[in-house]
Amino acid sequence: MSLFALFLGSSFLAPPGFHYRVLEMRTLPLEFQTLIIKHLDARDIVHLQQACKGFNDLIKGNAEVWRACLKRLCHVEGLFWSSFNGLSTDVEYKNACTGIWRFKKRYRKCESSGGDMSHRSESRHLPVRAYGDLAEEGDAEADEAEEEVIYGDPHIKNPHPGIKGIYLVPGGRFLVTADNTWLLVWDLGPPGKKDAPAVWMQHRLDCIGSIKFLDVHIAENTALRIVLQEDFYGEVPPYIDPSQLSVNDDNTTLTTFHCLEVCLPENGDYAIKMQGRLYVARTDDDEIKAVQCGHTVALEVSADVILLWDTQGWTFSFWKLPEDSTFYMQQGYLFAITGEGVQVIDLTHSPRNLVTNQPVDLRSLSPASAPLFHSYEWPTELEDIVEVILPKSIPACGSVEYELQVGLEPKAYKTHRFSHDFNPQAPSSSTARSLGTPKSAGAGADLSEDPWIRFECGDGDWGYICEASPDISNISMTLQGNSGLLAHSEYSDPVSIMTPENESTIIQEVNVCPFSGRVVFLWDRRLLEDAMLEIVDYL
Amino acid sequence: MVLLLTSDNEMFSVAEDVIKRSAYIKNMLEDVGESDLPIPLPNVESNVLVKILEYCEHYRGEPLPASDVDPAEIGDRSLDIADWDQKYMAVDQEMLFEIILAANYLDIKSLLDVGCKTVAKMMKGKSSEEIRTLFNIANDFTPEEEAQIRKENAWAECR
Repeated sequence: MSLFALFLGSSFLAPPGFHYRVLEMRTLPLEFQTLIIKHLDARDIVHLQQACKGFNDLIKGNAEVWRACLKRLCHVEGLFWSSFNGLSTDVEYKNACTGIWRFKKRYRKCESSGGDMSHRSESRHLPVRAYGDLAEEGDAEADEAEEEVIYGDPHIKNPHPGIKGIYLVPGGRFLVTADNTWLLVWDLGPPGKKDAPAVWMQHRLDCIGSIKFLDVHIAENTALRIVLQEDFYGEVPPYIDPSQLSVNDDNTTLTTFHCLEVCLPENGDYAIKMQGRLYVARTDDDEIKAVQCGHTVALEVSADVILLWDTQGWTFSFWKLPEDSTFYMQQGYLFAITGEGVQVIDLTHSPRNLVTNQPVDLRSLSPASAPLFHSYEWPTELEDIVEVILPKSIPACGSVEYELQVGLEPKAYKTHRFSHDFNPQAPSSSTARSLGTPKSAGAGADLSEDPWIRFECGDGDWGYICEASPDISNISMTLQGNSGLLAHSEYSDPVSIMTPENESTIIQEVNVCPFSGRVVFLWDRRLLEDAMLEIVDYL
Repeated sequence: MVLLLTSDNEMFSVAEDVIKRSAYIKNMLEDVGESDLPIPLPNVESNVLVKILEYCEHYRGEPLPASDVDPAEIGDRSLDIADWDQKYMAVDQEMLFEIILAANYLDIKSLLDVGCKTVAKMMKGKSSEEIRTLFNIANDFTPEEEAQIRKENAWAECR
């Protein structure tokens, strides 16, 4: 309404058919200038702000512009929007938008001045008693850990020694931890705040097997869907009737998949909901990979064989994918990528079996071939693919881009980039095309150690966390890419970001959120036989 | 057919299903019903209306978007603009801004959005100096003010 009134007001001054002013960006009503600026990213906004006083006055103090910018950043980079619940001023929003730039800048500065970013003095640990009715057994373990003193070595006390898995939610605000008893959602504070972490939500797991996070998926901006894997070796969990299941050989592994939804809406109605459990009996103990899309979980139970679990409809399908494929899902379709191209599989038209309280016995099932919806062939066929960098998900239809890395010799590879448009209504309206073979992408980097994790860090850049060579216990980070700051050098030197507490401590897991500059380390303190969590803000 | 009268007194006769892309006209037709009287558009000149009608004509027959959805809120991730829209928007800046104002007045959300995106795309990746050239504006900061803003935004500099 206000837009309309404003426009009407200004144009009443003009006689019909007479141009009373030249319409340009600066004479456009401010509301429209704001509408336009809301489409820009942080750096473009700042350049505009520096162009003249008028733009500066419009942008400075304008929380709406920076909020829109942050929301776009969340969409583009897959950050969890709820991470920014409670922000309200332009300074807070702007700060959140620019974190990634400041993180890269800091990295570049450290890289050029000796390569050390670590500053242990600023690290945080989980507090001793942050939550109310936590189980007594947890506290007992904590007391034990506190009492344990290793000769001549002042270990940091650990109130949560049994943590088995961690997940730092993109955005850097929330950390999910799991031990056998509890799934906890921690608030690490908004970007830049270094208060003691606080438990926001807790969910009793009471697992008895060995557990780990299999996949965490951001759903609808404000909810997380977590898939936990619990393995039982040579035993049957109490909720399964053993008479219904023949565990007649030692090779059978029973696995339970737990699917939980963590809701963190802006209105503060936080909740953890159990979505479902799926029991599986299998003979091999291959590492399982999981991918989620909506309420569907695809579990790769062995090479190119997936168990598709619909947590809402309580059904499953068992499928064989093309050989040597890497897959991901979006918009209700599964995309299986091979050296030949992409096979698109429609998840909605699949044969379904009902999930019951008894395990899905993979020992007696054979996978059906997945129903092909459409396929795209690469212009050239590739062999020896070592890694596939998957595309970002697209809103409804649009272009998807893949990076396929082909191994050449040890520690060297060549990257091929392909893309195709995907429109579920007209899948054949596009064919796959080559986007060339970029020179710099990865090939120039000296990754003397195998990288541990690869993470996206905005504008198509990425980073690696490695154990630094030759000092194997040190952890280092390398950032690469072609945007702004990183485009300047052919390759980046690894920068040391953390050293372990002492020689007996080894790294178990690292989670990075470059957008908030926050990194979470999970150490395996072998002398104490516990897992120690450490949070560092590199901004 | 619907009659439209522009600010420079030109009469346009337009098919109803074409102009219904304008939520403003659509609502007016629904409120007023059948009428032989032209709808006055005191804020739209004939040359701009011609351009607007070209857009409505092109998207004739495509479903109207839901009226209460803000495109910026529903995962409108990039500055991607459809090929036809890009060609359509290849006009001088003044016409571009006229289209934005008219799209707002006539309440054609998709066109307003494409217009704003087009302008935003023009600014993308440009330095402050290039933006001044683009919009024909003068640098009216004092050197001190300019240095201050630069300092506050040191993260945006590529060195």
